Amino acid sequence: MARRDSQGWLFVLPAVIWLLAVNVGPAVYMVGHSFFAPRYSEERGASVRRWVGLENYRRFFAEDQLVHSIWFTVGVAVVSVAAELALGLLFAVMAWRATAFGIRLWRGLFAVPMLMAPVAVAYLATTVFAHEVGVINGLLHRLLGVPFESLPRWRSDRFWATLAVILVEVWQWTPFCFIVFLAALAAQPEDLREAALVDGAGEWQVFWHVTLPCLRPVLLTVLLLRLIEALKLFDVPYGLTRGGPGTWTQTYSMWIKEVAFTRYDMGLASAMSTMLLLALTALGIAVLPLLRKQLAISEEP
Amino acid sequence: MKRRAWLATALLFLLGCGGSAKDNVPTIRIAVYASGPRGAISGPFYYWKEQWEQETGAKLEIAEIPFAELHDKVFADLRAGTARYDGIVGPAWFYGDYILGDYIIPIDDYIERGTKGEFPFWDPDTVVPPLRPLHMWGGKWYGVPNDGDAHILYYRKDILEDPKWQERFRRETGHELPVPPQTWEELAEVAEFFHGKDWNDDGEPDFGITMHLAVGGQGFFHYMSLSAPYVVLPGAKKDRFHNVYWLDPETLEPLIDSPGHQRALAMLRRLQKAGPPGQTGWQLKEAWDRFLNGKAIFCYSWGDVGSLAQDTSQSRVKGKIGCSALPGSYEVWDRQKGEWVRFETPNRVGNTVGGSWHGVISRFSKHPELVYHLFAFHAQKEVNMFHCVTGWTGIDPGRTFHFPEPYGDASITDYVSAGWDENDAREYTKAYYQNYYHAQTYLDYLRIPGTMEMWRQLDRRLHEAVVDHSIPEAEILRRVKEDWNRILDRLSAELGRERLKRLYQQSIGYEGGSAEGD
Repeated sequence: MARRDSQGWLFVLPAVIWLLAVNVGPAVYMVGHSFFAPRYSEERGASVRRWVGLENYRRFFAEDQLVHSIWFTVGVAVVSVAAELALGLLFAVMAWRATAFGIRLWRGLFAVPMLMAPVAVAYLATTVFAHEVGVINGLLHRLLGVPFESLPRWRSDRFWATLAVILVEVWQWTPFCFIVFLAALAAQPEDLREAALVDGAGEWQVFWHVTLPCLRPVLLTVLLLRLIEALKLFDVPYGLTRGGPGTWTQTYSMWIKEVAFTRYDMGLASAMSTMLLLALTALGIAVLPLLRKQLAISEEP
Repeated sequence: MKRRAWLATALLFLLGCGGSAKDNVPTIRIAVYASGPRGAISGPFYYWKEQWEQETGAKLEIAEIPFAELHDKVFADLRAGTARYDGIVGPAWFYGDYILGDYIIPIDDYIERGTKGEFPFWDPDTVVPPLRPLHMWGGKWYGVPNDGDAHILYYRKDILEDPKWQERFRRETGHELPVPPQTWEELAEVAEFFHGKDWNDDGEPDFGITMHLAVGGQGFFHYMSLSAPYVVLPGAKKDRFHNVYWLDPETLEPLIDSPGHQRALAMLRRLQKAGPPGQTGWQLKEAWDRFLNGKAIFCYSWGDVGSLAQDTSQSRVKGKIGCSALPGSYEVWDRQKGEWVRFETPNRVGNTVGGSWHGVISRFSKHPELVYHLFAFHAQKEVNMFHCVTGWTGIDPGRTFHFPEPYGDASITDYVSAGWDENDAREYTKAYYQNYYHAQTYLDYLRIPGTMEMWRQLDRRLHEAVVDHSIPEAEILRRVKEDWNRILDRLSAELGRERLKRLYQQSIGYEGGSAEGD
């Protein structure tokens, strides 16, 4: 038994080392860093790191951008992930049994946005959302005759800038939800559906009472993955709006980047990253039991 | 067999990683503002690359970095000491951070050796006086001159001098059309008069003024140069209350919320209404294009506009522009007395806003002499003059030899033979000369550590001001002051308040004293 145990440890050792070196180690270093701050040393003629205890966390809570950046990040994450899940599911259900000519090609093309680098998408989006020469405003002006002064200011109005960020997010990540849902639908046992139809259920009833409950574990997994990603949102607002108007679309991650690399205030940036890590871990801890429960239900005979 | 193949592959890989003949060629890498091989600031380095490499036998690598990331990338490299960049072609506002970290080296010795023919020669006296301090710290030269940045006013001379429009203006306002406007109030009135009228006969309403006001679009420079005449009280010398703009040199208190600034911000908002609605989301190029396409009467910006106006592939205004130093204000806020002071002639404040992009040598470079050689090569009279008269280079006037008679020793034909319209060239160089030599006082250049951070906050708050006019000017500026105080407090905690104050005083050339004791 002992030999089997030591063999087992040997097999997982590379993974443990990797995890310690790449994940746990840097995380511990980051948390440690959050208790230090630079102070100028006359002796050395340069700034040196000094222990400051919880000072960085006190400064974190005193930052005036804290509340807004959290609300903005959470708001965009919730709205965009909800839209991605809804649209992804809708398109997956539509494509599931579709037999139209070229459907496979369409499914492939639908995945393209997901394959693009988010920062590239953001820069492309600047041409779509430009005020006078952008694709959307160009169409509104030429086709609908909307005067220039009434066109949406996608990058300099709070509402439109928020919407632009959400639209780009939804455009890029709906295909991810679509592909996962489509795969899950294809893997569903056909006999369940047939039995329900034989029992006289309509298509809508079958979807609501058979298909959707079977999809629930996948839905929860996608929700968790997408929420974690969306809460770290950086590239799209960075490239598209630069956090503007003012600091309206500045997300929490953009703020960390600024504190770390513009202010070079690594202590505060580490404290902010630690708080994000704690929040995401809490989210995972909250959702995982639900996921386990759903998996247990779906595995019941 | 398979094992041998693996071994051979591994050996080839190791050889690939090892030295080669190519490594014997000294190579330097410079970080530069990104705008491509035919773009502003980076373009000239590509243009002369081959010739410089032939002359020196060295190899030049050009690392282009976008404006918004330049500070972060350069200082991440310098702080880590990884020496990715041997030289940095950056803006003058980096100096506080450069000097504090001791990241760059002085070049006085190289300049001296340049006079003996060891390096390409450039004469420090040819740098116009207001720009010289931007290349220096504590009496030593650190930067090699390249670009001279300052805002001037561009206007459509053909329209403003058209008797038809002058008559219409007189009828509507009851007074003469001022060409060029002497104060910001006059400029706003003219811009408002033309805004919404089809004065270029293209069948569409046109604009009074065009500005780049997007976050990260360098719009805060618009505010700096506009606000200076309301804020900078001229005096015989720089003391606590005269000739200062940013911070109180004795207390480091930000001066950004003074009544002078409030009036200036109200003026910025007024001007904004006489421009395209989309300009709140515009970067430089988008704003300049409206002027170059003949859609706006005014544009106040850097020298690029004047030289780009000569390129008929992107400009419809060649031969139609007038230029002047920026307008002033009859009233200036006196902080000491706490009241507005009225002048008989407008208070015109010379400016050097912008980057005045130029090269400095990294302390970590293994080839500092080569880096200096490269920058000195670009600073030579012939090369620099070529840049100044060539539109795409982004190099603007800032050397004495850029100015034709009667202001300097250049000839107007230098400009005309480079494709300039003669009148445009005269207007352009005259305006720069006025700005550098005929102002009552000058706008300080902020060069302390944390400058970039302070300007970013200013940029954001100004954007709030232009997208939401319901927020009072005083409130916007109060927020900027709060932001700046937070930054200064943090820097004080790190560096010590006294040390930070000394750095600020050094950077603006403050030697103490106040008007009270004078």
